[in-house]
Amino acid sequence: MMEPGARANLPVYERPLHERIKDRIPAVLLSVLIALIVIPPLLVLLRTSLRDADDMNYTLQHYAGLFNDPHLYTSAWNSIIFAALATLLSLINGGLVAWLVERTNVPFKPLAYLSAIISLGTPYIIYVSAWLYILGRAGPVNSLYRTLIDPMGTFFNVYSITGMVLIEGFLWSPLVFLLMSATFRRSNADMEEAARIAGASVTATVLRISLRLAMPAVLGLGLFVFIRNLEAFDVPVLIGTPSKISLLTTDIYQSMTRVPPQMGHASAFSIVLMMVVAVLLHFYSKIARQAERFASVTGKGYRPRAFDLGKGRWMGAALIIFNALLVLVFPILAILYTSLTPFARPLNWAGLSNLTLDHYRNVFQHAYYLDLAFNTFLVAATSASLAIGLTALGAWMSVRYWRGSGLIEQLTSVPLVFPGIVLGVAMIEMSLRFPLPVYGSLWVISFAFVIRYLPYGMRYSHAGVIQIHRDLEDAAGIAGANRPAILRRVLLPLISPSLIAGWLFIFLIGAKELSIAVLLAGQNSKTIAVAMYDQFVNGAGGEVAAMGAVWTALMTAFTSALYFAMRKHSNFGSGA
Amino acid sequence: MAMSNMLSVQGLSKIYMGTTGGVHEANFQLEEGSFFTLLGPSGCGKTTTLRCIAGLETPTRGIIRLGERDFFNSATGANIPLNLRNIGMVFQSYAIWPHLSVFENVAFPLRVGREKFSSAEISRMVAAALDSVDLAGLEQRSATQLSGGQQQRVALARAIVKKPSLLLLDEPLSNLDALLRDDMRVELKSLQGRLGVTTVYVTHDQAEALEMSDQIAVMRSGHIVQLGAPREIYHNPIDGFVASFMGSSNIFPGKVLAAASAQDECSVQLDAGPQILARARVSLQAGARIVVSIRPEDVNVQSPSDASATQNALSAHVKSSGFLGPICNYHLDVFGLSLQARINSHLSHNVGDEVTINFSAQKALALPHEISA
Repeated sequence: MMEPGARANLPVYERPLHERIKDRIPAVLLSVLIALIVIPPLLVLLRTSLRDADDMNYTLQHYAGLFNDPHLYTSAWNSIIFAALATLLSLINGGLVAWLVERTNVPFKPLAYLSAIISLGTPYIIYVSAWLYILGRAGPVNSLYRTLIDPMGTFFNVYSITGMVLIEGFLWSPLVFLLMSATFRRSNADMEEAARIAGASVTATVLRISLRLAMPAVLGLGLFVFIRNLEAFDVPVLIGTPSKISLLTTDIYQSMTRVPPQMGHASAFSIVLMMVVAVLLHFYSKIARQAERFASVTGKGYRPRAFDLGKGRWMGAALIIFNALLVLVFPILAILYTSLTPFARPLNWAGLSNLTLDHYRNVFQHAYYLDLAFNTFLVAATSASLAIGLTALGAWMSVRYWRGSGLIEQLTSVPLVFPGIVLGVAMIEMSLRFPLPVYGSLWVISFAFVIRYLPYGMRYSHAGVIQIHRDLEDAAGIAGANRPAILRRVLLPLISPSLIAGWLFIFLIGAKELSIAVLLAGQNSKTIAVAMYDQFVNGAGGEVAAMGAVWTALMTAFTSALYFAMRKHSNFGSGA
Repeated sequence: MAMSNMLSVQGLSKIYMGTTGGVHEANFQLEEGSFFTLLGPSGCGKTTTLRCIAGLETPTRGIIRLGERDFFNSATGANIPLNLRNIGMVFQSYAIWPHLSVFENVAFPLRVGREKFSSAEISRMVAAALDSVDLAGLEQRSATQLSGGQQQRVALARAIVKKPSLLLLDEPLSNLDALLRDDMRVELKSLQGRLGVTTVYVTHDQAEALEMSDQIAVMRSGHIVQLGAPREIYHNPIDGFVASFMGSSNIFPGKVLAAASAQDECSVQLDAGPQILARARVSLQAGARIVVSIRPEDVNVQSPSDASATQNALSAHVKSSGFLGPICNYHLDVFGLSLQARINSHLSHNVGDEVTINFSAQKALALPHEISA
């Protein structure tokens, strides 16, 4: 026997070249594929922004025109004010409800979840039209004011930046609620209990411990919502445009819908907006990393002891009920009412006594609505499947450090810099140049959605793979399985809850996405969100309301499935 | 001796850039059917060595050969992928797939390998494997409904179902509670004997290693420090590190007064003051720095009035005592040194008592402090 310590003088092992190449092929192929999906929109926008109107020469005129127009600064200022105030409102409202539900003994907790879940699947346009009605000139708020105080006056003008902030803020509250409640649920109750045992009051504990610990998460979420609000399109176009309040996203939309479309201008505008978003995202990722360090995650499964609010719990209950009325009851009543009246009229006894199911009958009989539903389903399902499929493979390779997988995560996060409307502009330019007649087809919309939702898919897939102990895959390898067998027999079954949750999440947001679809949809490729927008612009439509009601019911069923998949999986909302 | 399934590891190194971990120049050869243990503290490289044999890590250099087959050979460039090595392995975490039943967990190696089995064969082999770990009847149980001990048995059944040519066990008992662990040691060893499969076992628990192994390799910072049969390692540790790792808690630095050849008695001046007689592990020069290792159970403790021994008799006083049932564990102060003694609990001394201790020169080993491997 060779003595321990004796030197064998063997050469260092070098993997043969063909094997090293073979090792890299899968991850490199996937990286190239993802790059081919996410990079061209960037290049096309950049190129168009630098070409003159006849596409003959390179020029900076679009940028010069943009920056020399004082209108840009008005729009930028409006966008920032709008985004900042709406973010603040949704953080305070959604965050407070989340804390009440997760950490106190407030009553009506299930109502808060129900409101948030239904809101996830409801097209924004339904909310916006409901709230416009409620806060509008003829709505109950102003009617009450006129009856009680000033017969000629208007208490609140919803067609204003304040109105936009209120509506956008309420629009985001449910998602903030879901994300914050995940944070509060995961946070370590021991730290709060230690403060209580050390003699701190409830208020002191919340201020000195809970808030401090949650601060990085709150800041990160705040910046995230701010970015999303800056990119928001629905509320700006539905309320801002009629009231002549211009924002960055609606400016881009208008320069694309003018005749002829000002593509150079829109592209330069898009590039500038993307750079702002990229800078903000950079800070966001810094804060998010900080938040991860701060997160005091416990492996224990027990629910932390709830704070006793005493009589204050009824004030908390009032806030939950207020939110439920706002995001659940009123919009549903409004859309039901619109869908059941034969023609648009204010809500009164005459209207209520004259309800009809005609709109629903039409919706179920006309091919047009069936086409809308089919289009929407096809686009949302295709993009969800592709995004989840690509990212599941990508997450597996990058979490397990496959050779050649170094760029996969960065590549999948590139689309985060595209506001929806910007991606819409890029896709129009690309489909016009494409040799096949794809312009205005469902395939372009689906492709745009795949790009937009790759980062969301990655969040879910990554979270899924990372919680699978590596030994489970190694054991399969030792047992004789090759990589495809490990993927099929071990990994996929184990991460399927995450993948299903991610698929449903993408399906839901895809089904109600307006900003991309509104630019890309042709006559035969309209989705429900686009059709509802058209009807909204052309005057309220009972049939669209009926369609919306049916669709919301369907999506609520989907969302409930998502919610239960996630609850089981405990990373609800982490994809956003 | 059959060459068929002899495991030979030569010059095995796994060097991680920029770290001190890994393995350096590990050499050992295992006869077919033997039980071999890699023993050492965490971070010593024992698990890395095991993972290199399994094919989960690619060594920097070296040869790993089972029988006539090179699993890995940096001289020829051979490197068989892990799924073609036909080995069984039990992971520290068990790695039971939670989405599969007990039956499907155990049947997995039969379903995914190159060799195909009929479903009747699979049923028979799974039943035999489950039977050998006393889990017959639990086939349809979901893996998540098993206790830790049962999961451990499933992992073992899965590792042996295909009659592997080599069985690798990575701290398989460390997640079990103490009573179960003692039972499993015996069971595992007897199962291994029945199967006659060459086994490499990784543990940090010296009692496990001593009880189960034919051969033990003690590792420290990536090097095999000592390789031998359990008795040899226990009674003849090569240096102070091995002695203390094998349960000797009294390691005192000192200096050799007169040259001595191996196994002879030599006198040693302890740094703390007293001069004692010890047995030289290897031949020692006068003036050499060494440590003396004395096992707690080899120390006699007596009242000064009863003391009769003259060799290595030192006065001490009792700092603390712990009653462990059959024995008593004493911490004694000897010339400022803290010395542990474990004696029959019928003899009792109180804290603060002046006592006399002695130990035989044959049981006090003069060793190098740490040999450089």
